[in-house]
Amino acid sequence: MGATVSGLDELREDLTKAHEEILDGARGVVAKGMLNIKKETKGRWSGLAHAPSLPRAVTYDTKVSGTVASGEVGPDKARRQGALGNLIEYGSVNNAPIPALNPALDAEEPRFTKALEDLGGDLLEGRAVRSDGPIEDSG
Amino acid sequence: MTDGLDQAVAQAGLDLLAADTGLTVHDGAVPAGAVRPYVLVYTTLDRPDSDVDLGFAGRSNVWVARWICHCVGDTAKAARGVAQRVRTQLLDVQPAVSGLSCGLIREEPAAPAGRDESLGYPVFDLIATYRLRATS
Repeated sequence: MGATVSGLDELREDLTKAHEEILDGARGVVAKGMLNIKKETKGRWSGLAHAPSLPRAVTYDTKVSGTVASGEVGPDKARRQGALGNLIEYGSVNNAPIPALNPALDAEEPRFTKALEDLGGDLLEGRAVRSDGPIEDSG
Repeated sequence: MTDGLDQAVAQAGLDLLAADTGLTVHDGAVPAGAVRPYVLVYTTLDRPDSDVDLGFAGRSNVWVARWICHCVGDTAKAARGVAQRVRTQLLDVQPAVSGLSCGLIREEPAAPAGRDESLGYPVFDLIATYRLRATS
């Protein structure tokens, strides 16, 4: 009684290639997620009479460090009215909040999860990795 | 004719807070002459149009409620004391809302107590946000 296994060389090649491409692919997925959150946040904060420049202050960036691809999105305090972001998102004892970042994050979560699953499938099956969002925020 | 679910979800968190008789809860606004410490609660309700639990027909059957709690006291310690009571009442509690299947209330990252002088006198305001996800 014995067993015969075939295709292991091809699997090893696919896994090696996946290992080489996964971080760039993951960073692309993160970037697309950040871009989606940025757009949703800008939309929710557009038209605020007392913070007309706040939407333009919303930016994102991505990075790879070791085996981690990450991103950060939100109002840049160095930009005009960016410092108002916390006040607008969470409110104060005088002002009701106008949440945008948290709802945008909620909306993005299922899309992000699916995109990562698709990335994994593409890599393991040797398909070309799709290019998603711009890695750098164009402003 | 409305199903009353929005009010029911919002009230679920407010009722949990009100159950602590040592906690002063203000819903949406602080009345004139309010005595500190207190928690000021802003409630938001979202119906995501993109979620793994949306039905096959794409109907919006996911509810995401947030209670943004401003825990206010005369000192940072007093504000933290309010936040602790709020946390005790909300965190990991599974509210019962007729017509909805509720998850556990989770806490989102909070900010430390900060000095706020917008009222004309200094208070400390610690913002803690709690989130509930429910499906219909």
